[in-house]
Amino acid sequence: MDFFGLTDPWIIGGYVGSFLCVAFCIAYGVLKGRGEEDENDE
Amino acid sequence: MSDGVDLTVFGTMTAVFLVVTLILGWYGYKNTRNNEEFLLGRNKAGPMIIALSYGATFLSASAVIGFGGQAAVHGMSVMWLCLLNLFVGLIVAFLVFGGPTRRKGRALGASTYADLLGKIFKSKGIRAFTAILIIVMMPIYAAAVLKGGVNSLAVITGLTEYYDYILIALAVIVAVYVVYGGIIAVMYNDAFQAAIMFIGMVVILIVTYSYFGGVTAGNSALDGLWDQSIADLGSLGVQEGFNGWTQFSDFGSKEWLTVVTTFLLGVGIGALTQPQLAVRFMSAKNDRDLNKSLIVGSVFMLAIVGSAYTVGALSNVYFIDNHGMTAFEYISQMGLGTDFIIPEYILEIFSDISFGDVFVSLFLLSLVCAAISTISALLHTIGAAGGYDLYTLWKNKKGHTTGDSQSVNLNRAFIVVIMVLTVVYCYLMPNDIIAKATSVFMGITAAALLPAYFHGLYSKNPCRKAAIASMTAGTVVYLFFALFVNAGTSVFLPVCEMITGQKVLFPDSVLASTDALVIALPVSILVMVLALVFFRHTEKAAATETS
Repeated sequence: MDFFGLTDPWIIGGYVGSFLCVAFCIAYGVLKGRGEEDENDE
Repeated sequence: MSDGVDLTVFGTMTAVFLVVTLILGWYGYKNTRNNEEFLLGRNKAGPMIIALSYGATFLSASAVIGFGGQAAVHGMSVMWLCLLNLFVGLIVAFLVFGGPTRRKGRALGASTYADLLGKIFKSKGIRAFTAILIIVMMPIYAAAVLKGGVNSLAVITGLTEYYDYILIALAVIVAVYVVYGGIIAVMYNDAFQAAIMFIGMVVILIVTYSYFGGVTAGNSALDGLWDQSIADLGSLGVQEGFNGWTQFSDFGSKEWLTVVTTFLLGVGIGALTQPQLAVRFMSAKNDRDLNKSLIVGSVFMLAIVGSAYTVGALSNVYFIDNHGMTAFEYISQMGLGTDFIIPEYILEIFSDISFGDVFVSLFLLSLVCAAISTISALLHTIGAAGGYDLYTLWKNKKGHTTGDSQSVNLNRAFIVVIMVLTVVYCYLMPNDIIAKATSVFMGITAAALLPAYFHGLYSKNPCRKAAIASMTAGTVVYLFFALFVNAGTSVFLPVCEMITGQKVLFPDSVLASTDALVIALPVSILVMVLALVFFRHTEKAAATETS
């Protein structure tokens, strides 16, 4: 397996995992961050 | 080091930077009307400021030059630290700890991390212990970050004879805006500094891959290096089990243990219990803002650490091509430590391109930003632990009052004292210590506080005795392993050498390469669980007897 010149699955996993984390954060932030701004507390 | 820093360009950029920093310090000062606003600035920052402030505080110069240098030595396996930074330091921290910390902090009226734990467990002892842990351990971390930043700045600019002046100037600048502007100035400056770091690190990544002819070409070149290298691991700064810069080391080998337990677990897990980061959660207006801040925070974190670790590893290709040596060999023959690999690489690679001076200056400014964004947050946290937490406890004990201290000036005075102490530490600490000092601070806070913090946030009836047992076990075991067993951390305080005559108790054992956190945290968790079972059982038995 060759991933942008990298062959070790562990190293590839480090990069892919990092990008997946960012994708999750963006999706979570967009979905759970919707709503009114003025809500101060639950 | 290589010539290449245009002091006029760097001086101009620094002057503009300082003006903006002081303006933001002034903004913080004008918006700080009481002690709660000085300590927490609740509702004063939106999701963008929280995200950038959290990221810039979390990622110090240690992440860029300390661990970037380690990536140059140990290779791309350090990218797992980037993954852990994102997963544990951001996702788990925000989703598991962020919301409950904010809500409990608000409900209990807590203004600091020690205050929060003390109020959750209704324990002055826990508040005092946490504050003392912060005051004792955090200045070491702050000094390591300050020393690392100043070292790099002095060496890269060629102003080593002005090292003392640079150190003191940087300390004074940070102290001024933290003392006057409190947490508001700290957070707004963090965000400004984060923006500079972001631009600097992204430019460096792009230039690096452009130099090697693209991502695949660069990675393939690094992959091909290992076969050409001399197999003397000692000269490469690595240990038995190392398989090259694009391969993970052999499972269970000394190299694997060092990378996984010290760099990955020590720093990755330790991020969860950082008092200076928990305050960012407590400053948020609502949980929605915390969720929104994940968007910017994750992109920022990936850009900074991902760039630093990737560029660090790839620098080996550059140094082999241009000097016939790996990054570690090249920097070692210059008499410098691994913390200088990234700065030296930046100086050299930008020397032949257009606007190289501007980019080098931008990188230097990014380093300064990375250092002072972390130091300012640490300084503020230590100041609050002394001027607010310990003073409140002392005042209450003397019977002067039962409430929390409202004195902003006392916090300010304590911050000044700690800044002086931090500068003194800089002269006492060994060189090349940034990554290890970061690991020690994060390790001991995690071992001592993580199980109790988690239990306190999620239990409806937090058990004080179990928390105290877990904190005690975590601290004692961590200190023992750090000072007597782990070869990397025993250098901080050579107690073992003074007592036994040898640096660590088992120098040839795998334990010498195992980070103390790997032993201390499970012990701390186990003690917490056992103590909870025991004390809950005792409480039930007592309740049955009474009824």
